[in-house]
Amino acid sequence: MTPEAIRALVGAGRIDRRVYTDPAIFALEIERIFARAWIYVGHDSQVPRPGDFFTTSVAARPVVMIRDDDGAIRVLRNRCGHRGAMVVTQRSGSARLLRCPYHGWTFRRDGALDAVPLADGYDGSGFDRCNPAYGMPKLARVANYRGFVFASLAADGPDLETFLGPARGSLDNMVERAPDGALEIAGGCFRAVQRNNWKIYLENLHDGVHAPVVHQASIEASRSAAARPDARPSFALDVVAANGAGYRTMGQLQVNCYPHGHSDMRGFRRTDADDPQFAAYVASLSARLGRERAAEVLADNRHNAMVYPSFSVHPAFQQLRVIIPQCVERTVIEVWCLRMKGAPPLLHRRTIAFANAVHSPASIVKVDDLEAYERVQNGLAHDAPAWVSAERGAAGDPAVAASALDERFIRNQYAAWNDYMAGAA
Amino acid sequence: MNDLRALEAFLHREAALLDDQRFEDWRDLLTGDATYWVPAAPDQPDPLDHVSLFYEDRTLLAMRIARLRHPQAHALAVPIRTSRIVGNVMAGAPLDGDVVVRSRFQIVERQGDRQRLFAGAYTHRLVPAPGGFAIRQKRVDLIDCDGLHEAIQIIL
Repeated sequence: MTPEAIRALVGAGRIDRRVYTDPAIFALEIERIFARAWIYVGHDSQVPRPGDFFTTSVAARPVVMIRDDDGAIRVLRNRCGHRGAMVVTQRSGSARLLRCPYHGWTFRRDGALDAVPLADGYDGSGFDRCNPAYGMPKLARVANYRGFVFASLAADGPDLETFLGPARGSLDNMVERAPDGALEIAGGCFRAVQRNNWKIYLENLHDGVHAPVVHQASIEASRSAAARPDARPSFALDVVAANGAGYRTMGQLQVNCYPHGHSDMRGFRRTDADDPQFAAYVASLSARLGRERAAEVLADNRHNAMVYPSFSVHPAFQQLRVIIPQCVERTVIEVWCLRMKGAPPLLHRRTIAFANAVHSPASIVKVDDLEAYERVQNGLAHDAPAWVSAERGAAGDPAVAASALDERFIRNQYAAWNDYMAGAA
Repeated sequence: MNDLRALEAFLHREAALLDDQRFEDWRDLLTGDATYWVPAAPDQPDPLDHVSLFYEDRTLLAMRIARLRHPQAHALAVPIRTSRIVGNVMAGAPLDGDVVVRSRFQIVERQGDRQRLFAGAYTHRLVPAPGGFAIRQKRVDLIDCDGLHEAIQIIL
């Protein structure tokens, strides 16, 4: 496809349906977007000691994130330099050396080839143990922003901080909320598979218009459950009920759009709690940051933030979502919880309860979202009309933040998509 | 032996209520402090500090059932049918005076043209009640609890 043909797919808030359905465009996205951008790999707390590893993928390539002897985090191709076998199949673990289960080649924590059985058999061949291609090659770039580890398959491009730009604010806020100033992955993970193109999911992240329609049943169910004479106070129920905030509230929520397709949205859920443990949390945060700064950090209520194309966080409830496209109409989403170091147990329990309420594959909120995404995917399989609309809020002043009723963040994602796919990035 | 037969009969009745979509009657089997827990990890020790596919009390279950009954629950526009088998019923050691019973289950779920299978272990904590038992906790350990899941709308 020529750059002109690609740009023609996503003009002025109208998006050609093939962008969601054409396997050739999907393959191009993996190479031009996911293999170029900074992709979220994992959190450094998942590999605290040398030899600790965690496996995932970057741009459809299996990788191993591993802590090296010098404390640095490496991200290696999960592939043996001999016959190509995947070396590590466990999700996480710890190893002195990584050993291929096929012919026993071993690799150091920096991916270098360590030992080969019958090495003298390679005499007179092109085999070169110092050639990284015989090891587990490092990804071109790895960077750690306040615990969040990203990697890029591209040797050039903006550094991670430049790439993140103002989207750093949400990661900063999430870290600053921890009384000890640090987060750790804790409390497990949800893995959901969705029958939709990866972008359909991203295009719902700050969509305040869908909530009263898609979630009508769960919103009204939360109200009827709360009205029962035997009802007990429930944080999870409040989380579900908050989707019923209505267009007026959503219209007052700022959505900020940033370069490279990133964005964030203000929160619409109450983030504090009437609980002595929450008061103790605020006190310990104030002890570290000072009362004024602690109040600022807690008042900075962000519902979520998008780091295009692979990562989204809920800063106020300490969770993150990893977007892993599988094929043009199939996407895996992993949801991980973080624990704020130094916070009382209540805070992490709210994180867990929030995750259960909205991110579990059995969440009564999420199941209706998944239905909407799949219906979009199925609808776009038909050839007419040729495009879909993301035009709402087009008249808004670009110098002023959009609201959760605008689709400007979708257009912002496609500006980045265009740059990656048709050239500039 | 009579005890085991009584436990089996109770589990079969519970399974029938869920397959027959008599969700309110099923909820009436629960004690006031009951929990319905489906862990998201094998051997998950606790529901508070680790995510779960479900961890719900009577209030959250009332919310779930109200959605299942709601005409605008879009993901149920095509209705779901289930058929489940409960077996391998074994009495466990009593816990704080409660009866513990372990069993295995398989649930076939049908929605439109899609069919899938859930399988795993039930652990019921039961208290004697008029006419049989009441459920203090139902723990459901799916064999793919930590696997990739599509939407789960049924009560397991």
